[in-house]
Amino acid sequence: MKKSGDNVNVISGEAPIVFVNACELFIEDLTRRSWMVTMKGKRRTLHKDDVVSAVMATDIFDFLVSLVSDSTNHLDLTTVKRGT
Amino acid sequence: MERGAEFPHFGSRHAKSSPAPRLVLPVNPNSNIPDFITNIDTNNANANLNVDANANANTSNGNQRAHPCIIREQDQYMPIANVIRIMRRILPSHAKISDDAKETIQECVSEYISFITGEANERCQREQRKTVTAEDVLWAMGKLGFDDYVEPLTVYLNRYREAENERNNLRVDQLPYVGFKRSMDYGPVGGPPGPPPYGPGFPMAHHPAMFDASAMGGGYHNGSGAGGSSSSSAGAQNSGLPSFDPYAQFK
Repeated sequence: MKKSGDNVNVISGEAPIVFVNACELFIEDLTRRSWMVTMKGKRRTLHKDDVVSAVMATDIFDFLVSLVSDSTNHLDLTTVKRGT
Repeated sequence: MERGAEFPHFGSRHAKSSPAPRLVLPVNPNSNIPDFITNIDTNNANANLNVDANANANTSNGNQRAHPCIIREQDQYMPIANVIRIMRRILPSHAKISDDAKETIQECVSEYISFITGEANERCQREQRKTVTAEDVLWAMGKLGFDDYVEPLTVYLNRYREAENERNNLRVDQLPYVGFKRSMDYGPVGGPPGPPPYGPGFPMAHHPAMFDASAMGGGYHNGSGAGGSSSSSAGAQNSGLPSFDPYAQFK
């Protein structure tokens, strides 16, 4: 899987350290927002649809829109997506 | 059913995913993801990203690549157990998480890493640098809208660097009482000017600039004299300091 060529970069030893914590922050952020959707629906189980709603509602998660809607997702995006 | 990290099959996850695996195949000229992304070691419970390109060639669970072009699921995503653990930190204890929600978040994390790394990588290429540094990663996060993360991450990174410096800079000659009375019992920690209680296996745990090791994700462990990370203070613990004169500096 190793790419070869001029565009191969090296990553410094500290960058993964940043990523480890960043991933935690990201998961916490997304979970928190998703849970808020769950609570609004007066439910106790966090479903994928809640995650999708959270993604749609958050600008910085726009890069995830195509990812979460790629899979078998029956939500109508025009109704879920808030104005952007 | 919980999707385990050990399954070699690719099942429905791949049917659902977008055609090109997001992280691994070098088909997208616009996203030159550093190679370390392709080698996320899921055997590592701490979900550290593995920089060794060959790490996944021989996994301890004996999984083999079915075909050279097939990416294993555990190579694409962070270990789901870790993802779930972090989610549970946020959620109340009575909350339940559906399996598809867990998998979705797991995929989102991988996409997040790709996203940030791609941006950091582009910056390096623009500036004609070969090494993607922590600063590049932080810059990319700020640029992509994750400003809220930048500050806590910067603090974390600085603490980590300080801890590393302390570890690297602590030399035997800086420890006034190293090697003195190694057979002594443990005494009070803190190194007041007086006979030292640094017995074998007692790490230099009371340096004022040291942070809590667990917050740093490893490092000094009380009592673990053989800990590899305590390399600088290992000198205090090894019985071999043949020519060291603890009072040299006091002469």
